[in-house]
Amino acid sequence: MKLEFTFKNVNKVKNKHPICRIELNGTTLWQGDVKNKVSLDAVSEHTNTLRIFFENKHGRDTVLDENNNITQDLNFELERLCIDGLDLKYLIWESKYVAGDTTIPSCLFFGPKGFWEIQFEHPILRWILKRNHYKNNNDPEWEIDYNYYEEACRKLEKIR
Amino acid sequence: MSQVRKDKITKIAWALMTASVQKKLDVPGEYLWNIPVSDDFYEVRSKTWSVFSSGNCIKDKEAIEFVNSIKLNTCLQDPHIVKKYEEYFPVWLKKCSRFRLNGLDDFKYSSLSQGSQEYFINFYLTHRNKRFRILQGEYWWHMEVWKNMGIDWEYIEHDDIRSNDVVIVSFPFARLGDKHPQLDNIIDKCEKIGVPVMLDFIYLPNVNYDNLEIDLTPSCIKSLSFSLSKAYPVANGRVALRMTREKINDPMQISNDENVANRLAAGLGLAVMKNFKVDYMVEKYQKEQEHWCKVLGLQPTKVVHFALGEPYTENGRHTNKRFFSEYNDQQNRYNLGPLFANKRLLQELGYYE
Repeated sequence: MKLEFTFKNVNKVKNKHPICRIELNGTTLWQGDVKNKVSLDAVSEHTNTLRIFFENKHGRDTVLDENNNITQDLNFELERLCIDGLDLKYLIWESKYVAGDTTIPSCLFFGPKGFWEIQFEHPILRWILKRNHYKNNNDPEWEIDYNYYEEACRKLEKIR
Repeated sequence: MSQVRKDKITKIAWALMTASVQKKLDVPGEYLWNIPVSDDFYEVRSKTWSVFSSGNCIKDKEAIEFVNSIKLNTCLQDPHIVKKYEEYFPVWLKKCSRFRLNGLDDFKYSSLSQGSQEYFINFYLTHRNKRFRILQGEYWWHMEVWKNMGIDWEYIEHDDIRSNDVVIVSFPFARLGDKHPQLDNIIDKCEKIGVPVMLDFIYLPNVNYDNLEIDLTPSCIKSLSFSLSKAYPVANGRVALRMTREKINDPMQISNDENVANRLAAGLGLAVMKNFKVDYMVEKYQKEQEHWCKVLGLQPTKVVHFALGEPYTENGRHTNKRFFSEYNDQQNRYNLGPLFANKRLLQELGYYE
């Protein structure tokens, strides 16, 4: 399985750069400075839990002025996630951010120390179609057509 | 008719459209409505719905290669090319033993038409103060134009043919791929009350009759229309012909008389006719038609690239069941051309049987 993350609004504090660690089903896949694009290969299971940990955030990384307004902060945002070449689009919001005892649903902003989490199934297309229908209730044929598509792709892969 | 194999029909549609995206078709598609522009599931799916629609010709490799080899530019300098095309068309047609057009010689006035649509438009213009009559299942383009242009029309099934009417019927009939069962009655009625009829023979080159007699002698039949677009891969070259009993000085004829008609279309048409027999596709693909009809449980028609079956729009589809137009009522007519053209691929995929 291929994972492609796109991050944006990556904010440093002084010379400190945010660091994240990406984990799939409890196994660390990558750790490093947050950059615009991160592409990874991973072994998936049928059901998967993907987490991105904000590794190096501490209280002193949020700088306040005399009125307690934030003047500088170490943070970043997840903009896009593609799995096996498929953009999750709005399904990326079916995730949460966990910071200590607090769980924030549908949050792509990495502010406090914590981790972002999404659960999905493999194959990803099947999961996307299923979730789209679940959310919009407008595609009852999704599974039948997915099977046609999957068969066509599988057969075509064998030729030329 | 044996059981229609919807599942297999749908699988083939998915295979062809997925192969199109992956550039694995034996012969690539030609029209945007069945060429997926990306491998996005929803995009491919939407195009699977139109694999069997349309009346377009078989994308025969040899014919495409021949058309690609024609050097047309020189036709622009040939002031006689349109005339040559117009004169050769009936000669070419008469060489085919599958049908005989009795009375064709009475249609002395031939005019190159830039596709069938040009002669339709001119027919509409000539009879603009009349009511147009058409059978359900006919080419939807007519009704769509009439609706949008405010032209009076009615299905033949909905009202008697009356003296202020004009009639257009395709032969073979567009939806059936065979002569319409009501055609003789319609001609009789039109003959009795003097209603002009245009017979549209657009699918005629692809018919597999053995020896069909077509009677053109009733005087109500005022014009005949022919085209190469449904038999040869020249549809976008707009190669058609109108034949009439009387000279009609409509825009199309005036352009012909002025010698400003489309010489590229004439040159293309002439080259195709000189190189291919009328029933080239029939000879080449009739066995394929029989094969696919058997495999898919469809009923072969008299047009070699068509078959009849339950509407393919009933396969996994809830909206947009009529392509392009609310008047498109040809969903039970399967265009088998994509199957013929991609035989090798479908064999490799295990769908050919």
